[in-house]
Amino acid sequence: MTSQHFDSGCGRDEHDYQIDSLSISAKPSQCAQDDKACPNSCESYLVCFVPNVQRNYQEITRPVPSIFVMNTKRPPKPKKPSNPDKGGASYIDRRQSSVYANVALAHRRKSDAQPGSYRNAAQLTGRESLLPLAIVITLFVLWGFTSGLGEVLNKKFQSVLHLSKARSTGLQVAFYG
Amino acid sequence: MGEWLLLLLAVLDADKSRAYAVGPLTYAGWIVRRFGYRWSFITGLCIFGIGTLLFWPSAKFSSFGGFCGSSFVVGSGLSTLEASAIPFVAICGPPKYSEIRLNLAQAFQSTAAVAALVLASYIILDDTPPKDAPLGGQTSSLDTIQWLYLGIATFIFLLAFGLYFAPIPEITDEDLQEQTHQTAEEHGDNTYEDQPLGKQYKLFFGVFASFCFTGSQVSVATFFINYAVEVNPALSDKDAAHRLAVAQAVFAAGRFAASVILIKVKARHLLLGSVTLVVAFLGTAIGAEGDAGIAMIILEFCAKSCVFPTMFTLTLRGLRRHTKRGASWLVASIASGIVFAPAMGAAADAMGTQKALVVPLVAMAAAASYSLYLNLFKSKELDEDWASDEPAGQSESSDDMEMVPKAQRTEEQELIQEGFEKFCK
Repeated sequence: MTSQHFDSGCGRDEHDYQIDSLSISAKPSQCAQDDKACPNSCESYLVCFVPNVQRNYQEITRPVPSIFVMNTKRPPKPKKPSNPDKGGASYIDRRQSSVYANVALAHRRKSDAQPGSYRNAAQLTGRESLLPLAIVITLFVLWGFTSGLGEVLNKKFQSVLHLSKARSTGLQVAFYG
Repeated sequence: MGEWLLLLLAVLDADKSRAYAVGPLTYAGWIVRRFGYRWSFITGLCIFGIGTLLFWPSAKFSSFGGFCGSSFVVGSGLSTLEASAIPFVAICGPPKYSEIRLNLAQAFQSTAAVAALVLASYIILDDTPPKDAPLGGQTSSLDTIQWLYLGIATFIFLLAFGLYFAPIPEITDEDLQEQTHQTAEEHGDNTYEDQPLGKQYKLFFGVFASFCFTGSQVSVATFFINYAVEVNPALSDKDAAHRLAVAQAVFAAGRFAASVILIKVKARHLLLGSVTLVVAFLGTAIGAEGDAGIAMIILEFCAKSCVFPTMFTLTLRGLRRHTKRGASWLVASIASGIVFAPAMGAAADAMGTQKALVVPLVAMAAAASYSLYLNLFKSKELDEDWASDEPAGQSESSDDMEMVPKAQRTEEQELIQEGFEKFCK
């Protein structure tokens, strides 16, 4: 085992790091249960080490735009939204940054096909769905506005171009359709 | 030659309606299924934007053919948008509130339509040219429209650009399939089985009902002014147009009201109730005289406002992996104005506009039979989602980790734990 696998962002030397890491095997999972147990300070190498795993873990499970995340205490997410259909490759790439998960991957290949790289629309809670819905409602407004305008425009064309009534009625039908 | 024949020709001219019949069934449906909602929105907006830009030359050269052509492009774009936006709103979020969401979204849509009507009649129709003005002398009034459309086009392209970065959640047909499976298991329902598309009878009936309903809606709206003038000869065309605007405002308000009512009332009950009211009002309008008849039609507008979104969502429920295809079919059914408006025109030619309301009445009765079918035979299936307050396929959610379904979360934890142990050995 070499220490180069670890992200040594806390300024500790490798020796300390290595020894201590063997003695705390149960910590990462405890930490994953409670965000508050993982402050981002470097008072001990444990605290330094665990947030990295935590961050990687969140990237793996939820590679979603940060704008979704209502809870502000979370670490920043990748900004670019993923393509819904091509999640597989980037999903594994992100995993490789996590030491633990990477080792586990060698033993559990089947989990590659687990969570997709997009948010499942039907699993959003009411609050989470508000923003996407608001965006799509602007599409509805745009659509309504254009069809309303089209009606008036049709009358205008009728008067400007001296269309027969029947012809422009057809156009109105077209707009309603 | 009867006027209805002219009308028929006019409708065949109506490229936009044809776009609705063609778009969702071909490329629009395919884009939603293959690339997802985001790209469907962007494609739709781009086509829509190109269509609005095409209004410029057709207004410049005062060409009706050009106007129809750009209408077709706009219609293609809009139908692409609809084929994805309507099912998106229905699916995005807890299934229990599907009908509320769609009703609310379409309420905003109708409100915008009314706002555009009012706005445009102030801006544009005030300078209506005299009837015998020379053709070339009136381009100034079209100028306003050109700039308005240029503004809309700019907004559309900006929106399309923004949508590329916007947080649009996605759902595939496989996800839907899986979720319904899970929900069925949670409810202890062992009768769950996968049905091929050919056996989705509810979808077929739903598309037929939607076809009839929108046909009825279009024909009533198209002949509203003729009807108003016929039952109340004292009215001028302009007064009748004002009453149509009132009816459309009531229509928008009805949708807002429906989204509130749906909090307490089951969607299938609301659908049955409102369709029954629509049939009653239409029937009365055939017999009524004077302003009473017009009032009946306005009430009919109010009652039918919630029918399309509610029917759409109820039809999509339980379709599982066929959801996106079903949604395309339902959007394509909007094109039924091609059939029903000329039919009503022919009837109006033969026996007067008032009696011709029989055509939309019969169509509406067909739609009513669908809501009766839903209430009688599909009630158990439709109530399943209604019972649960939570997102689909998710038995519980905690506040802290709301973004991660609990099942996935523990698995990831296990994965990390497992890796850690292997690493330490």
